[in-house]
Amino acid sequence: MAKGQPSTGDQEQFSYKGKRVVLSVSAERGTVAIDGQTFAATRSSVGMWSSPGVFNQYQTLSDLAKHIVDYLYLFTPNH
Amino acid sequence: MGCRKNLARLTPAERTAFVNAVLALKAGGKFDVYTTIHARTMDPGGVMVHGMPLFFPWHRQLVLEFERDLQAIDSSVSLPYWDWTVANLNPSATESLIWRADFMGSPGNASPVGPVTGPFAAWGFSRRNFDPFQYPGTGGSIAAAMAQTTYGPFESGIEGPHGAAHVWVGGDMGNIMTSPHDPTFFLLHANVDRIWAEWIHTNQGTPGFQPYAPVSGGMAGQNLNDPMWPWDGSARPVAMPPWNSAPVIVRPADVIDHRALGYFYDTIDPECFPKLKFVDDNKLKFRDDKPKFADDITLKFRDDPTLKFRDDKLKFRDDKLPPADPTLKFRDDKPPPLETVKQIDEKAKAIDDPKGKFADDPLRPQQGPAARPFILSTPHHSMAWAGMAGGGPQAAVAEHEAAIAELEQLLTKMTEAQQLGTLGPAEAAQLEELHAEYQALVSQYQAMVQQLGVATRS
Repeated sequence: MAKGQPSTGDQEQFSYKGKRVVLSVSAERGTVAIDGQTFAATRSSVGMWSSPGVFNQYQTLSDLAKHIVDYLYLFTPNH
Repeated sequence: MGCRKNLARLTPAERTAFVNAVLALKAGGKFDVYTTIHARTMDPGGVMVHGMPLFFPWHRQLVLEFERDLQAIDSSVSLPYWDWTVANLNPSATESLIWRADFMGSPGNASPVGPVTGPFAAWGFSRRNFDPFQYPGTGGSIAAAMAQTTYGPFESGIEGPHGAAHVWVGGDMGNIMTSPHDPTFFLLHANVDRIWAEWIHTNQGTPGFQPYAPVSGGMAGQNLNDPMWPWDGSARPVAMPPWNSAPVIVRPADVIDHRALGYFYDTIDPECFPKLKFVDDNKLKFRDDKPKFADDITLKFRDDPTLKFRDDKLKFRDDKLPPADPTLKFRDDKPPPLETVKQIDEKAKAIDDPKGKFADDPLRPQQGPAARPFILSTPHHSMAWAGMAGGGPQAAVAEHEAAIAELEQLLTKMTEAQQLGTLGPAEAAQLEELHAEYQALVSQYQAMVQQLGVATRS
């Protein structure tokens, strides 16, 4: 299991900047739930995680989740 | 060679030249190659240029190729950068200096995303319907990344806000596969490139500093001396024209020094600093003229040994006073000593000496009976004169004068005591007797003087 992401079928939870983050992985897909708001994530053939609305690609799902928390305002309407 | 300026400092002519060059590149078909190259990095087996160390050097080379293509069209053009942490408005804050009709065009004209208006409206890309007076921000994140001293944390710290700026523009810019469709991509990445240049500029004097890592041992294609696709002409994942026919080995190590690549930033490179007319004008007499102040050896101020000012020997408070002058007659000089009676007597003898130093003095008394006598003003002098005269009538006169003088003193004291009431009855009676004696003595004296024909005492 790669560090920073749960194994398939598992969930991982942690807190980041006051937000409760829940990661879940199913095959090449995953979800990032931040205080109940869920973001879909996909893993590329080279193992990089990305999410719609996120420009960057990250090697771990947790790094992707932290980026979403960092720039959560980008995911709100009319930001 | 060229200066990459903040887009907010472009002149209208510079904005127009840049837009025209980009439009010409698009018209020639070359512009879209950059979009393809960027998208192909996401292909399976492709070079990983996001979320990896190669992020900075790979995009530096991509943007540099783009700038060179523009300069092949118009040599005056340099790529401006977009500092997305500030609003980039005109001084009166009434218009945006980036989202404008003569530059990068408008935001998307529909919500949440839509096509744009402006010079690139015909290209068909979209943007988010953002407020052109707003901006992505995230300057705090960039500052935190700039404080890092190792490449890894710095790189990841910048890539985050860079991605946020992509998403803030939105539309094609918000997607890795399409972002270079919008020419804003190159302005955004020129700013990313500037940040890397400034980070190196800040830290390059630190021992052990590495402007890029890993040097070796990292993932294939990510090391300092690994050739970068597509310029190496390799098919990873696909060969790209024109580099497959004219490959050029470009490694991260080859692009670390942006100055060596022939361009500069207006924030750190002197080549871009304003050329002031003051400094280099030979006619001016200011800062580049030979100074007339501190370092001018012709000056006569503090370093001149001939000066009479602060370093000269002092003549005032700290100087040593001159030695005491024995001839001075001021406060510290002793007054001449009073003559003693003996000295007076000796002087009197000298006066009487007919061969002495007073021989020619007209006041010197003459010897003999015919000599005109004189009477000194004190009993002692009179007695001395009487003694010198050798006795006789002169001695009698002198004795009377002395007696009269002594009696006058006594009478004066007793009279004062009587007036004060301190004189007893016996003394009062004595006073009466003394008065009588005094009158008798004076009478005798006056008769004697009259007989001798000498001047009377006053």
